[in-house]
Amino acid sequence: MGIDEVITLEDGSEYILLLSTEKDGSKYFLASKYVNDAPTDSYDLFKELVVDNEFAVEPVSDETLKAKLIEEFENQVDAMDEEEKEN
Amino acid sequence: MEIRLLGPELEHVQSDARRELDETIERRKKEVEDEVLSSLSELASDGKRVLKSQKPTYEMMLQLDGLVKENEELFLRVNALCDKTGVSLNAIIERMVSKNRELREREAVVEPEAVEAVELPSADEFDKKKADEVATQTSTFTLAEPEETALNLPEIDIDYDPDDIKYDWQKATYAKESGDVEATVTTDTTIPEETYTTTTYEEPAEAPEVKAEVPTNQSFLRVRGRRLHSWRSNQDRNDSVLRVTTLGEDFTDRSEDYRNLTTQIGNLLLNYRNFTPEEDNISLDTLDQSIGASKTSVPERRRLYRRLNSGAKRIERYARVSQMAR
Repeated sequence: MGIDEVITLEDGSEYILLLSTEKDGSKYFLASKYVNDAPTDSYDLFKELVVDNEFAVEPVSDETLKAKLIEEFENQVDAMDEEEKEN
Repeated sequence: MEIRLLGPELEHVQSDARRELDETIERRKKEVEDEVLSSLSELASDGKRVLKSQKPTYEMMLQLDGLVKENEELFLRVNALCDKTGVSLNAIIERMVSKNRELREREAVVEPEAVEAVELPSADEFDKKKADEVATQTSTFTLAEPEETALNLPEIDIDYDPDDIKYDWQKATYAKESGDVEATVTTDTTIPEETYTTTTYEEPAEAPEVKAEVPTNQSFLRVRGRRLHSWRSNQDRNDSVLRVTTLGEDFTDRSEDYRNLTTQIGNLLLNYRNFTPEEDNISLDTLDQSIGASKTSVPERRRLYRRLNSGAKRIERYARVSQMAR
């Protein structure tokens, strides 16, 4: 899975993957719930899993990990902002 | 008796005799020349005919040589006449050459007849010939009989049905559904014939579950579909109503496109983080007033939002990360 992809979960909900990072060999995504083909202000952090050769996601519940992921994503956005200013 | 002619009569006789002699000599010269020319022309014509009609073979050379020998007598006679009459043979030959040159110039260019093709042996024939030559030169030798090998491997005949064996990927082990697998080993006389029977594979008591990275509490959700982020047509977007909630204030905006939505989120977040974009020179008070005041029209808000955000996609992500941080 990769950013800018819209994933449909087995419960029918849809999420758009906004940012991604890797930590301890696992891949994590910042995702926005996707309703009526548009993102909403409901956000989730997902861990990418592979179950029976198929992708699956698990919401990140650990608060410590959650804080680290948010920090990482903010750094990414800051870097993008710097890049934007340079251009 | 000596007769003496004297006077003018004598001179007249001498003059007549000298004149007759000169005339005879000239006539003979002309005759000799004509004869030589005729002979040489005939010779040249014969040679030319030979050259034209025949390919240069050994037979042609013999024929030319025969012509030379045949006319040798003629040449000798011509030489004798020349010596006798004082006619220069070189002058005759030069005349003949000149005449022949004129003849050649008058004659049309004679197309050479097709040369008979020489049939060369084909490549196969050539190879065969060379092979025959080589074969005749090749020495023959005989290999020594191989010695008896010390190891006589038995001939193994395994009798089994592949369908009896099944590989179970889930259990990561081989399982046999029914019957035994037998393998018959046939050996030569040095090894007595034996029949081996394999042991029966036993079903494992419980197949081990191999599932990596799968949590046991089933907290995950399988991804049933993936597609690239794409937006609907403008008509569809115009019909959609998007709601943005932040800072305890609700407002509904009929977005023309998703870009407006992202700028709304970004601007509201900028306000929340007390961030003033210097390049747009718009104060937070102005922004708050624009967002919070009901008198501010939606188009006015959009205009302000657009001025605040040049990179809507970047701001979108920034807003979402910051929202998570809250």
